[in-house]
Amino acid sequence: MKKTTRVVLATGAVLLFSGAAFAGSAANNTGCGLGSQVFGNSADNSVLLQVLQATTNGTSGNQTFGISSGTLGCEKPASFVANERAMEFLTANMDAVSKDMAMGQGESLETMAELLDIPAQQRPQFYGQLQSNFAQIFVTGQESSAVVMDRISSLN
Amino acid sequence: MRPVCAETILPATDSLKQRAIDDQISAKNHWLNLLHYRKGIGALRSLIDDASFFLAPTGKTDPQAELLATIEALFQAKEGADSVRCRYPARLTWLKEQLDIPDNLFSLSSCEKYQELIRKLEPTSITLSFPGGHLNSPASMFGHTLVNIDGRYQSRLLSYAVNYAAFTEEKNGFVYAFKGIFGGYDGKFSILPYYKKVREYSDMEKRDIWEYKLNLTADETLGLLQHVWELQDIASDYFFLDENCSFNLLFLLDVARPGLQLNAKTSAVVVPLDTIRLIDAAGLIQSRTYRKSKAARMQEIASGMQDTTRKSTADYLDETASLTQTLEKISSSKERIRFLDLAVEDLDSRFLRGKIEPDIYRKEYVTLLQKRSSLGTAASIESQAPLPPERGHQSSLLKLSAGMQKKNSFLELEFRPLYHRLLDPSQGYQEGAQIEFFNLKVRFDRHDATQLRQLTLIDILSLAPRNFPFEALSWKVSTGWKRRWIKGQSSLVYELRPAGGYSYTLGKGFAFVLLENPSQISSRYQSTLVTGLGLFAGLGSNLSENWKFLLTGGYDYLLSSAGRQNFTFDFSQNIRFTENLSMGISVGADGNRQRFSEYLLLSAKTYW
Repeated sequence: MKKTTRVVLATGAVLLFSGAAFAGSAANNTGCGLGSQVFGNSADNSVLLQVLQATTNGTSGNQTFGISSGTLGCEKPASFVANERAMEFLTANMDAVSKDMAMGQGESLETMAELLDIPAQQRPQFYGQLQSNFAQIFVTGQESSAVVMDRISSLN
Repeated sequence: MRPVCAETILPATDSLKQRAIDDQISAKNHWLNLLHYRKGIGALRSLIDDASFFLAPTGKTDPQAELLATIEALFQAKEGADSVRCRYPARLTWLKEQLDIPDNLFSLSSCEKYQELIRKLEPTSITLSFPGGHLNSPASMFGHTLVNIDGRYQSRLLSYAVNYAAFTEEKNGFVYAFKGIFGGYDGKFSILPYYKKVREYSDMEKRDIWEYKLNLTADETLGLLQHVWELQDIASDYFFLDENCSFNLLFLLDVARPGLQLNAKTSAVVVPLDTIRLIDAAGLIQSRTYRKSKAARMQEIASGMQDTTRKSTADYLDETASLTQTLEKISSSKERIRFLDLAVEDLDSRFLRGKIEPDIYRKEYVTLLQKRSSLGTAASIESQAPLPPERGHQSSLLKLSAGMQKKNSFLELEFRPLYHRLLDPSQGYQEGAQIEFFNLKVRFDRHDATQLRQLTLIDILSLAPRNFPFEALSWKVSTGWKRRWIKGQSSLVYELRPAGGYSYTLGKGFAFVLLENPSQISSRYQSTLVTGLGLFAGLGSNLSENWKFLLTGGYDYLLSSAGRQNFTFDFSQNIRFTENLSMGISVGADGNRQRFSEYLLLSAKTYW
């Protein structure tokens, strides 16, 4: 293939895998489900760089005040239960939330419960429900956050 | 809010400026803090290097000029003044107070982007986040500090982290270090969801995080956020040694609560831990929470496993057994839970390091979790949090010893400005990590001969245990001048000693073996530079809370014309009296085939 094409494709691949702040492409929901938070090689593995690297904590990336929603381009859930904050958190933390759901406990799960305004006394039951219905919520692993949220809200 | 109407007389900026001069507002600490002024060698100047931060051309060096230009810009009634006001909410709010300007005039309500930030973050309180060191990267041992803006949620994951960092994509170690030390990078503030930082530090970089909830009020938190807004996209030269992440965060706290003046209390080199000590001394810490890294969690799960489970898990992790096979081998439900919990963490970890394709990851992850979800909830592992890092010994060490070597008695003084060695009290520090800079050792003997024994530039040791489930490598790098006995004479030799090897946890202690590649430079060698191979091994443990020992032995074979072989042996103990006072006892011997000398040292160590 032509050199310029190669360069363009390579650059695209680098951007795709290092852009943690960029939303996934809506077309195939790669940024909207499990495994969407991919980090570029932040700390180089070379011993030399590690020896000399200290807390400059080098950061790359253009979004200095990244408070905008990370769910741009991701589909929205059909249910009305979900609020924007809950969707934002779920989309950006799907791996941690799903893990906590399977285990029936955890900080990310508690955070979801808080965002969904589940009252404290009802939370143990909520966690239990999610755990026992886990295989119906996560069937293939390719589900987007919208699908997961819809399945969660359809449990009630 | 009343609209501005004809009866309200808008103060003319000239009279405001006169008032500002009369009241000497530009000399007040709060104004100086808002502009990040600091008394350097000579005149007062701002640490901010970006010209767009200042409204006066001489703003960087003249606080009065900056104040007058600010008043001129903020308190105009004309069109377009809004945009300047919206850029400086902290200056605006404070100056309105100082100049008795009514609240409803020159308000921030029309500043869309700023209001959006406030609405989203809902500033309520502040938590200081301190990711500690990562064992296999001792340079990260100094840690990092973030200031989190907490909103109305209980969950700490929903806070927003304010981070000051150098912006760079540099991969070359030397360039990175050089530019970092000499201000070659731009440092900027950024705000991002704290959960992103937790994922990065805790999961990817395996760093434990301490979270300190501060007692700042909602108003003070808003004041801090207003100032961060002013610093958006403003670059300052990032200096690793002093104008670094932690130092810049002190200005934020100083602005939030006038009177703190934390930025004036730092020493020449600013270590993140020392800034936490300052914050603690100022009485700001309300409570502490310890957040274990993913690696620590995995270690905990592994330690709780039965031996058979550990073996089965190891087979699964290195892919010699499938999931079904492994689950068949483990009969107890509790052990299955441990296996699955560890397998899930490991899979996530591999994905974060880019070792597995996303689609394969998703399939495996969900399969593991589906199995896990049928086993119910496990009892959460209750473990005691370690001592918080700011309660550990201080960063600088002064060691005074009385000793004997080959029948000669002497006094020895050692000064180590930074940071921690294996023999220092463990409390608050990571086990197995050592990092020292500019270690100086001087000896005075009975005949008043003063001798420089050692000047170490850098000494880094990383003993990452090779216990299940991690297959970590340990390594060491040290360089500097050391006194050696060469061809019948004692002389200072410049050495470079990189090493690599293995380390293991043994009971409450550790053991390690490293292969070294020592190189020495001395005019006493025929070829000036000699290199060779060496072995360095050791054993250490905490015998009680206040008593630890370290036993080390080393052997060098140098390829010099004399075929030099060097031996060292050392058995040292440290007895801790208080946080910053210890006593040490060392016996040992070093030398070569021609000359071997034993020594005994009794030391008093103080940290500050």
